[in-house]
Amino acid sequence: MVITGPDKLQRNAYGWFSVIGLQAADLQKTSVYCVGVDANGQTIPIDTITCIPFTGWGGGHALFVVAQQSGNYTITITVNGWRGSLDRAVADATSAAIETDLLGQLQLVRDKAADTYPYRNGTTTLEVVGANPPPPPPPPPPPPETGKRWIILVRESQQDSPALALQIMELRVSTYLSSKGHAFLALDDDQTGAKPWLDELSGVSGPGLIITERLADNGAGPVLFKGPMPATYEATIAILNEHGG
Amino acid sequence: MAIDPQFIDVIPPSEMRTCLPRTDRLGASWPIYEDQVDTIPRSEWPALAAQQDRSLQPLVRKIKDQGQEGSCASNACSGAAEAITVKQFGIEAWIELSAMSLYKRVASSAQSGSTINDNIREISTRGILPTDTPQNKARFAHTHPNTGFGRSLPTDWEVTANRFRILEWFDVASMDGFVSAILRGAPVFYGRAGHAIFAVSVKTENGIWYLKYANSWGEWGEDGFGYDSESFVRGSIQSYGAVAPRVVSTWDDWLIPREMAA
Repeated sequence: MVITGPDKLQRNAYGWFSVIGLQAADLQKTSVYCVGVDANGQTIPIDTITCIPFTGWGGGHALFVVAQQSGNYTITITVNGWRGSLDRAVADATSAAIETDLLGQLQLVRDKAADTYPYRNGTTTLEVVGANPPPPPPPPPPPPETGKRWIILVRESQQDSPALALQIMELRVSTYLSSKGHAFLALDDDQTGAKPWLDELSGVSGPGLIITERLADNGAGPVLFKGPMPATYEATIAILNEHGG
Repeated sequence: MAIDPQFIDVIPPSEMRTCLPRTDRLGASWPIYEDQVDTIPRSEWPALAAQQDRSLQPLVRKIKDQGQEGSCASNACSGAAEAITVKQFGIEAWIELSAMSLYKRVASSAQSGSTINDNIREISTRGILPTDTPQNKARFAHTHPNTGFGRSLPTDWEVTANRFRILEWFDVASMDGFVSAILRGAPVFYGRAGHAIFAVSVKTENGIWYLKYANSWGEWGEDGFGYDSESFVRGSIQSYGAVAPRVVSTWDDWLIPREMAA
């Protein structure tokens, strides 16, 4: 069979291809395969292109094609009769190691099948052009699991403002933190043990806040938040809430 | 609630006046607070002092008792160190510290007394031991009671004491610096009228500013706390010394967790 038509189509624009060698009776036994590949040779999902063969008013045969995504496509039209289908079924069953009885029955049916429609096909290529739509935004990250948290403040304590001093005391005596099993540290930036957390806050000027999971052994899990220390206790608790605490 | 007048500007009995005047010049040994940090204008004091949650009093886990010994300055110094420890690391990290383990190194006898400056110098260089509570004995190789000048320090005490040090502090030179330090979250230990204590909050009443302090007289005053008026303290700050500690040592690795790999 020979498929002829445009070499190039705009994305989302339809195109017609004529199919020579396809008969009206073949359409009952016809399958159409459209395979797309992107610039990297990766297969484009099949639902991005639609190919429909049909018979026109004048008795000619045509293929309707529209693609949602630009790329290079290979369009194959296949006439696969009853006998040909059974040949494929037997081959598939053999490679899949289907149990012998079923395979035997398939072979039996296949051998008895009269088939006037031997396997035939035709192929052409098509380039679909046009800017693809932007990829859909990634799904929002799942909400963090709730649990115990470390709330770690790192700053030069000499610079503590009255507002920060107030917040440190509010966090220190917070019944909310203690009721949830959270722990609060108010570290000076040159204190022994503070350096890894200070490094974590690289690029943050002024007092910095880090929130991590608080593990069962009292260690710190992965960092869930890092940034400037909020101005108030309420704002800090809001960030803690956003990160499962 | 109004301050009970009997706990304002208390002059200790003569035998308890054991905080000695400073022997070095203000600023000669350590930075002066007012030179390093902006003092808070007096116009802002009332609003800040009215915020009850600002008080450092919750950091004081236990009122000390110096007994009949002259260790007030060591008790004030160690009490302030304990408060900073709780502020930095939390209540679980609180370790009761032995004022006597400090006093023995800065005094010549049970009643000789000591200076504010000698105490901060010693606690910052060689540190202080935990008290000899059963819990502390189980955790640390060296402990010491809070009273009892005649008892020797344990052998190799420096190993444990070195873990408990005040690392950063300022000399405070004025009432404005004193109040600013407290409003910025630093307790201040100081001497006046021959006695040392440490302040945890400020309060105004009838136009007079007061410092609320933790004493070392056990069950005394307002649950162990008393008040000094500004006029009572003002002249003493430079003669006895006032120190605002900010940072104490990380006395154990577990106090600050390390991040685990994701």
